[in-house]
Amino acid sequence: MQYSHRNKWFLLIGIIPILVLANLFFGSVTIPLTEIIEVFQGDSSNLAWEMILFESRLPRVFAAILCGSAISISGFQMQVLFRNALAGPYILGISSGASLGVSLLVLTGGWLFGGMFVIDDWSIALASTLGAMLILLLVFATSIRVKDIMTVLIVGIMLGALTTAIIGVLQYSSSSDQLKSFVIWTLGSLDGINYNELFILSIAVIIGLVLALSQLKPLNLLLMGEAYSKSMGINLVKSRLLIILSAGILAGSVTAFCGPIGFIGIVVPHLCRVWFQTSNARILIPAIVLLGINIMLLSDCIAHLPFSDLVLPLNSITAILGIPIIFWMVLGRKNISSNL
Amino acid sequence: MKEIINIDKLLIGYGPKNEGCAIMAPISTVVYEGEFICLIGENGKGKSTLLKTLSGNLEALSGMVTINGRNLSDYDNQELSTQLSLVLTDKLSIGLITVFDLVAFGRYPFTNWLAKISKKDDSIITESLKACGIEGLANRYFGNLSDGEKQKVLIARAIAQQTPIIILDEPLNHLDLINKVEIFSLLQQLCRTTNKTIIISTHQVELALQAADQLWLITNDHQLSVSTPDDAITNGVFDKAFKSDKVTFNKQSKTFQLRTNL
Repeated sequence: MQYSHRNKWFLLIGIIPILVLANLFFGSVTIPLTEIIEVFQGDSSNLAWEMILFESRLPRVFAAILCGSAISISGFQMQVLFRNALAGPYILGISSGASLGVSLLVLTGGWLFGGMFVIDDWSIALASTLGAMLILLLVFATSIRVKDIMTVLIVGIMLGALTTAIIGVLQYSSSSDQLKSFVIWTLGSLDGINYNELFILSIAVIIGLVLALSQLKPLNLLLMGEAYSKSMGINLVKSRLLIILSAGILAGSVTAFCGPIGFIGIVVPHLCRVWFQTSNARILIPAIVLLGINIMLLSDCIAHLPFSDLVLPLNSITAILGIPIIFWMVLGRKNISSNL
Repeated sequence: MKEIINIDKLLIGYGPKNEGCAIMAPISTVVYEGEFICLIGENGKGKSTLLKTLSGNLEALSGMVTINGRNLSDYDNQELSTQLSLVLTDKLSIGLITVFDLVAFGRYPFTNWLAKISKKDDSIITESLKACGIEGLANRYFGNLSDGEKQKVLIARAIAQQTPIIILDEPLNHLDLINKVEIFSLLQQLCRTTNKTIIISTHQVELALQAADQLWLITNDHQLSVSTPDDAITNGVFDKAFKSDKVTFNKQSKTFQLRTNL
């Protein structure tokens, strides 16, 4: 076989436990490593530490694992579907849709929903899901009606711009408190997620990943264009819908619980292509899942600023990590599009 | 000889389904197994449209195409992919796919949903590479190949799909003379040795005259004239199809000559 990536797989899998441990270790309260181990063995008598580890840091680790894999695979699907190196999970307006849902809830103080909802994590997740689903449905309907995939892309981008405009109006006419809680949501965070939410998120992510895997052949054949894909037995409309659906579930569910997470979805697929030197989805899909998990764990670790009790916004970290990588890829290599 | 494609009163063209959009007169002809067919005609006369219609990528305005006894429009993509494979003219830019992987795509109609390549698939891929004389390129990246090598890889992919019919839409564009001749004789060989039916559109009239079993010629009055190369020369359709005051066709040498040189 021409692929022997054994060391790379070992590295990708091997670093995960180290990063998990780092995530458990770093935070505003310092818990010694030995104590962490004791807590997990059930030997610890420090209730506070137990609380912190089980109710805050461990859920964060799970969230990072789900987020990292979901957002990266969703970005990969969009890049292949639209044959565009800068496409990401949010290219079709999923994050704008989610933002619209959340802004309608937060910025109108729940007024729009008849005061039915208190603004908490749950209602935000619900609003975000509904908003993302709305945009996704419109994009879906377009992709059934029109044959040209670029038209679908344009419709997605325009819908995104439209929702951003509506959000602008809402922002302008809302109080500063409401504005602040909305802005904080847009900065993204893995904090404050609980096990119930994790359970729902993990079901969504598993469904999305299985759907993505089921479209492995189309994801490869689409590299050759639509005519060739059809000639090798691909039902283009069906595959397109399943790919958009899968990417929508993955990006939408993550955005619902953790806010829009930028750049990971664009950068991770490219890093995997360059590192594994292949565009073959059979290798890329597992590689992207693993690298996505690694990078998300690393970002969250940095966001919790080791050795201090500050917490930085997650989206700033992913941007600070991601953008130099995009620069490096765009400027350092001759043509990143041809790697698709 | 077994009949493999039957074309009956086929009207081709783009747009709404009425005869006003047709770009050629109705086409009726029969293709037999193992035939090497060259489709020639000037640009814009409908070569690509005809091939798109025959490969199921474009709906016919009216009339019928039957492949292996079954109506073309009754095939779904999956079923058609076992009958017919394609080589197109557009330049592909796929950087990081190896030649082996790309030819392996040809096996996708036969693999499971995770595209697992079996031992049998593996040997079919290797044989396809050999048939095109590019087994040495297997581990190279498609994006790093020359245009001629790329075209051979795409043909190998079509061979790996193991379909009785291969349709090639101007596969010789962007190639130099040596590569054109090589690929042409490769295709002719393939017809002879594997009994595949090959339909190829090309501007290489002189090569087509030497190699084709049947010549499909699109004439100036939008007819598809079907004949053997020799008949085409003697019955004069050839002069009609390539009428120009700059060039003349020499029937003895089967070549074109500039009028100024006469």
